[in-house]
Amino acid sequence: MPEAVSGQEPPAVELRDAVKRFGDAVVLDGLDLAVPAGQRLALIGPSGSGKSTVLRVIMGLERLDRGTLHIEGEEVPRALAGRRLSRAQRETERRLRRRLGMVFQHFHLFPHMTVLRNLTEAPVLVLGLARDEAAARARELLELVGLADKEDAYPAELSGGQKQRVAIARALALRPSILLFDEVTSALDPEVVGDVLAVLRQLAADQRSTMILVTHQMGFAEEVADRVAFLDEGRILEQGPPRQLFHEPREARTRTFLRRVLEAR
Amino acid sequence: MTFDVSFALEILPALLSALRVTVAATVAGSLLALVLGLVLAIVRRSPLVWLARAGSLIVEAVRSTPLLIQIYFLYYALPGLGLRLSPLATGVIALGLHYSSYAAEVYRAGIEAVPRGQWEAARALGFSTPATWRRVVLPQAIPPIVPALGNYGVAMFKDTPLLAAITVLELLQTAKIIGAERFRYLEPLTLVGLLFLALSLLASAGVRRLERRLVVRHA
Repeated sequence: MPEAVSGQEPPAVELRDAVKRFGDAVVLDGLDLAVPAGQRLALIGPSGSGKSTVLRVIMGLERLDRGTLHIEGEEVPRALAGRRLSRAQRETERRLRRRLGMVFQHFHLFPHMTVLRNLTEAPVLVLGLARDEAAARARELLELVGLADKEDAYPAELSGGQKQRVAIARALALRPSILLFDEVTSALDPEVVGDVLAVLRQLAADQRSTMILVTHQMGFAEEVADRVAFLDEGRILEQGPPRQLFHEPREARTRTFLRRVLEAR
Repeated sequence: MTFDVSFALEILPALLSALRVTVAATVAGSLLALVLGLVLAIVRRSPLVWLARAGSLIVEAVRSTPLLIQIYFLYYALPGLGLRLSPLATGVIALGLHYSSYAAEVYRAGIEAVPRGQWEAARALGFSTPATWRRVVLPQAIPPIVPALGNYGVAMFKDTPLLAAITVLELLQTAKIIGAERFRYLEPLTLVGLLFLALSLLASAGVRRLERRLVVRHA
């Protein structure tokens, strides 16, 4: 797959011939995708086109039935059906996945922990940071997402938009080099979507990390993404710079999809 | 036959000391059931199919046979395996094993009530499997099932008289011995019933209080 990768740096994420089936449904159908380091890629497409599955496969929440996944040039070990990974393979897998952070549509904050604890638990457990060190970093992140005053709150005491901003801060706490955003505004009330988008915009401006966003916010995708890929029936049908894809799409299906989405607003 | 109060008062100390054995068996049996039940519940979710099946088989087998048979079986089978334990220890193992299969089901309900997103968030944050259990899943799975577990504890308490079958000097066995010696059964058996009633009510109240405290903490 021809990809304009600058220099010799391997893509941050690369899927080759990725196939994922759920029962009889083929969700990813030989999908190829390479995301250069530092790129902001928006994945768009009709529901059921496999957008979220792409993120879930990269994060290791779903196992590929065929194909390969490379993270920063290294292949992520994949267990064959009915087999388990060896200890060394599991170690490699964990090491590579540690470079990823993911934010979910439904936040998935830990409801039994305070906001601060939600942010410090992984750095302490996974990176071995001291509690206060992790807490100091967590406070910086809460500042970044505008929730510095909420560190002692429990998730149940927050609004949807606040929860999602905490979830973004939590994903950043491990300092991942690749960030995955899975429809992070879809479960939010319209009036708080703007707060979350503002945080994402700021991240896109400040951070050098690679970002892959599955989104229905076409305006946002156009504004923030370097590249947009249109998924249809488990493959990338068309991709390109946002201006080109949104305004001069080559494929009829892309045009149909964009028209429907814009009409729905 | 009328109830002889002075006789009842005379035998009360002996029964109270037997009650200590009953309570000790319940506490030890409950701890065993809580730990073993949790192990069984986790084992049944193992990705190793044979291990998960073995766990399910144990739970089903234990739940499908009477406790009294299990008590007799362990009493006669354990020495054959080279384990010479006191009747009380054997009884505690039988109670713990029996109730662990029920506890495993309760734990399972609690674990299954934790949303899948919690597992996924833990995985996305790089938690190991043990860390995911300890820090994310069990702290959410256990508080809601404390009442159910507590009720099994009370049920176990009421099953302790079965240990009389293997000569454990618990409450019922002691009452029967007193009855045989003094040719009066009404007073010892009535006292045994009242003692069970009092402690069961007390324990149930304790479970309810614990439940309320957990609800408050997680609101």
